[in-house]
Amino acid sequence: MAFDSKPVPSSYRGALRGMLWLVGWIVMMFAAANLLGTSYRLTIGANAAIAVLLALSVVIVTGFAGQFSLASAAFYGIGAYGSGILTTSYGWPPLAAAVVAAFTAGSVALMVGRPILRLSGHFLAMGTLALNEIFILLIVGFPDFTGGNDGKGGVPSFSVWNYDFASLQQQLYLAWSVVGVALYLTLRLQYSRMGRALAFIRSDETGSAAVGIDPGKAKAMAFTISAVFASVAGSLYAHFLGLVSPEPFNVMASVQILVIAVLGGIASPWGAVVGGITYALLHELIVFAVPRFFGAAAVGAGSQFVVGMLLVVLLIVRPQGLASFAQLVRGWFGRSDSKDGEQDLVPSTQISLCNTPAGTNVLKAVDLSRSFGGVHALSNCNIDVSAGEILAVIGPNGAGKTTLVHVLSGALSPSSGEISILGSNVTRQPAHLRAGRFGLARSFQTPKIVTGLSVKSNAALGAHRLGAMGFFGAMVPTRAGFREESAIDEAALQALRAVGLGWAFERHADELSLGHRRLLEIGRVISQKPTVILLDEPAAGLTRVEKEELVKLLVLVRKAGYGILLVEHDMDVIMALADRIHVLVFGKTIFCGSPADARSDANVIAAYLGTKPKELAL
Amino acid sequence: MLDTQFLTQVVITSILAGVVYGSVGLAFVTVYRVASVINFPQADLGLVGAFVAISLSTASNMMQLLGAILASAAVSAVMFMGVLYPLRRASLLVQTIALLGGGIGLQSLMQLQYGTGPQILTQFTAGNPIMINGAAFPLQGFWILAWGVIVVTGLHAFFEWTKLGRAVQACAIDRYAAGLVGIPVGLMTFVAFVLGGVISGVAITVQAPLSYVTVASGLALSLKGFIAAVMGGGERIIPTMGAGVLLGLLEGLVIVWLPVSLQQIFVLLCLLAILMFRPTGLGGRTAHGI
Amino acid sequence: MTTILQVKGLRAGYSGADVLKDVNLTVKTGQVVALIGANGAGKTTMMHVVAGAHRLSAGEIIAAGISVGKQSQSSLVRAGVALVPEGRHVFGPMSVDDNLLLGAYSRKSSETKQDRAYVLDLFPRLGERLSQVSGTMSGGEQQMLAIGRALMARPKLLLLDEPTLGLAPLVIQTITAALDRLRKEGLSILIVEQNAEVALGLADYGYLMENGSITASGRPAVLASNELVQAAYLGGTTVTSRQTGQIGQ
Repeated sequence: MAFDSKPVPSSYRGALRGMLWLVGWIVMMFAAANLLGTSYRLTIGANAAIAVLLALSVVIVTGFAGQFSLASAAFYGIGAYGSGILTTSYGWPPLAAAVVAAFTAGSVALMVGRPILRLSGHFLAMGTLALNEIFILLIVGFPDFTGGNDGKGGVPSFSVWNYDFASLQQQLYLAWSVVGVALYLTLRLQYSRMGRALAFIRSDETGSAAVGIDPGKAKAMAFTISAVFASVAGSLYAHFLGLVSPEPFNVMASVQILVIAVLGGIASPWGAVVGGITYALLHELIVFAVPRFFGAAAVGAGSQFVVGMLLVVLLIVRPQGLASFAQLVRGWFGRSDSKDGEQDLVPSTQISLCNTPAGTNVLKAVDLSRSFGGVHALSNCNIDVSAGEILAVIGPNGAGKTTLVHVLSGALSPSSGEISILGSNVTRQPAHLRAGRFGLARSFQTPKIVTGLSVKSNAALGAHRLGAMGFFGAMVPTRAGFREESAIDEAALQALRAVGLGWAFERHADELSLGHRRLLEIGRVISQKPTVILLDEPAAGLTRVEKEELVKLLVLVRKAGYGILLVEHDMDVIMALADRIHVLVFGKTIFCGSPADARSDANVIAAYLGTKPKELAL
Repeated sequence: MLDTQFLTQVVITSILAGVVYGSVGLAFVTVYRVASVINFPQADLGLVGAFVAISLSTASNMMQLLGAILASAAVSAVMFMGVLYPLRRASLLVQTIALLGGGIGLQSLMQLQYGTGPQILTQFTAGNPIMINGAAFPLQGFWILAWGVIVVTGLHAFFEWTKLGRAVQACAIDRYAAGLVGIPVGLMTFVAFVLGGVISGVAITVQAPLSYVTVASGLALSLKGFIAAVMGGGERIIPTMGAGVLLGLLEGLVIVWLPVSLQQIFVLLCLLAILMFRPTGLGGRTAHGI
Repeated sequence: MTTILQVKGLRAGYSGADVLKDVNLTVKTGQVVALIGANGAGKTTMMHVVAGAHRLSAGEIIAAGISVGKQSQSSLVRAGVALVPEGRHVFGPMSVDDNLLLGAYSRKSSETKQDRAYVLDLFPRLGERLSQVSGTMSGGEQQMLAIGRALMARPKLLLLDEPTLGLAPLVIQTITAALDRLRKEGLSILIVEQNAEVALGLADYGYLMENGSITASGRPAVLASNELVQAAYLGGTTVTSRQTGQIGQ
């Protein structure tokens, strides 16, 4: 059973479950505070909480959003130094200092995040690494302010309105309460509209833009929230330890934080809890064992060595981290078996009707051109699609068909020409706005399905543009949020039933065959409630039976009033569906008209259809 | 303050430093062109060579150099076999993270062995520096320049003119297809890795007499070598060396206007600027996708 | 040798799940054998394993005298087994000529001139574009290049994985004609195709694969009249030519 297909709870049941979790959490804290005994163990308990908080920050930016950041230690440091300096040098109350520090961390992340997250993979890693280095250099470079390499001591214990968290037990309660809140927020984010959006961004950014998600903004927000979490961890650290120094916030530390998250399972919030606790214990073990082997002075280097090796070994042996064991266990206890159903391929719900009256022009491209260097992929193309019709675009490979779809959808910009949707000029609009605001929906040659999510969540991604709950709305429960989730849920289920995948809604998307993934993508397109639909070779790789189902489905979609631009190779499918055919060869239109005329047109035959193939030698 | 002697001195020191950055950058390029992976701890691997050379304090300079070559080759081989090879089917990102972990492990091992203090090597050819414009051009500088020239010409000739060189690049372009054509991809990647280690190893060793090295020097050198590689387009030989020299000059000359504490920040800001605005480098050709 | 490829009891798969279950297949020297079946039946995995790019879990494959799996992929190529992979996989940033030369990696450079002349004669279009960057060519041209590159290794057994996938009818004709010529000149070929017409039109013998096992085999005429094959892959009534589209590169 897919892990994220939680049925949207009725407010009552949800609140009750929440209450139980809260009570359980408090009980655990109480038990830990009283049973751990020695101050040594209590300190480990508090350290574990900080490790969990740091791991959660990585889970959000790297696990959820897929962005490889090595700057976590810098934000951790902003929190620590912010709290440290404001409380010692300026006498601020700790709560205010922590809030300001978190705000600073968040602002830096937001400012720097937008440009730097345009990078990906190695470059992002290097860029964030450079950021972390800059932070350390700033700390060390202004010793009057920060205490330089020696650091700054005398940080008081955390206090709120005269209540002092001075004892180790109190610190434990404080730390784990904060972790509890952070965990709650992270879990809420994971199962929300933005959580799904982040999963899509992680899986395929282009695909996410095609359903109306703004990847740049979402990534920057994830980065910012992650920075705030790290900063809060830093503030706690400063107050618990009583001093701040540069070393725990350098590049090495960023990698250590990464290790904690990988240990637990990089995309799993509960994994972060397990990973943080495990790491804290592991750290003590290292501190205990290393001096025996390498001498007392070697603790620092020795523990770093173990961390480095741990990371390598983890990635080789168990990259999914400890959280994956939970999946295994769940597997043993059996999944709720959705009946293996190829049944219900017959669409069982009606497709929601398109609002646009039939015959209205929904998509118009005038004089569209696109060149790559010297190659003219598209030359002066004129396309128009009306509501309730299917325009088929055919042509040899390399003729520009996929370029056309990319230019129309905004994945590529045109060299010249104009594109309008329902009369509005969208030529300058980025892909995610064409999808989100103007309702352009498209499918891809290889279906862009998020394999880590359930089938229903994938369909719900289509309805992303119908919702409005952002990150804050995701994390804080509101009545409006509930209602929106229910509505999106409904739309997703409806769309799935309409394409005949109703039986699969709880399944993991990666269980689906290619044919079903194609259907799922079309389901996602439908749930977008689009104004115009672009389909890129949807019949490719399907068996004859699957193609017939596809044709039947598209006939229904057309009947519901949508305008479709269909790029295809399969002549059977085209002849069964097309109202008009547009033939592209080397980027130029050589024919546009009815299917019957296309088949007898001399140019089309010469360029594309060719002569009859030799008969099978029977 | 801006007299010609001072400037000349700064220029000499900067160019020599720049050649080292360029060499480390070329080590990155070598590995990248074959394995498509950024070998983050590239300079750390080379640093091992330098440290081994230093510890061979009683041996002749030639022996020290040989020791550096063998040590950096050996540690690169171990890094490859222990970290990269087991993960050869994993995604590039996982490989990168693993190399990061390996680099940390390596650096801490060095710290355990050599401690954190600075280490220095005696210069290879005894003698006084040559004076130019009143500024000193150390004899060791010839060694640095010589290595720079060797690496640039050698790599260029290899990649552009030899069949093996092209085969080796095919591995990064399409690893799967390279295997289908009969290219032993694993072996090629191994050779590239070791080659990269030797390139950076010799570079760091020959500059050790001019400025001290510590176990922590690797990070800064890796970053600057990476900047040089990115500025050079990620895969072009001569632009990478040129970018390294340019970077050295920028870093050196900026001291004239900025306090020393901000010098390194300036360099890092350059990296960020390049990454964000011209990740394809100054050469203009697009680097491979990630 | 009379048999260029012998597959016995082959099992192979990915972490836990077997994609190929007990496959038996033979290609005699000089024969063209077609392997048809639906997308996902295991045909591509089969080609990977035979070409040495994927491990077998059980069974035996003898290709061009080499026991696949017991020796490296490069020695397999040197022995004369060349795969034209699904999706072409040309070396995009390199020129057509460089691609061809790399195809001859396993051979001595003295022999490559002859092979190159042969390939250019087979596909004149490539000769017109020798210095063009291969990634900018159309799908059909890339397919020709991929086949040419494989031929540069002077293979004894040519493996083709979906050579007509995603190509326009006109281009398919060019490629089929070239393959036909290779067949007449005695090259042993194993071809995997979703387009059963193309595959059975070329082949001397055919196998039908479903869910990782061979469910039918025989001469093309027999196979074509088999109900299973008819239902899934043939049929189609009025259209001049049938294609299945491309899955995507």
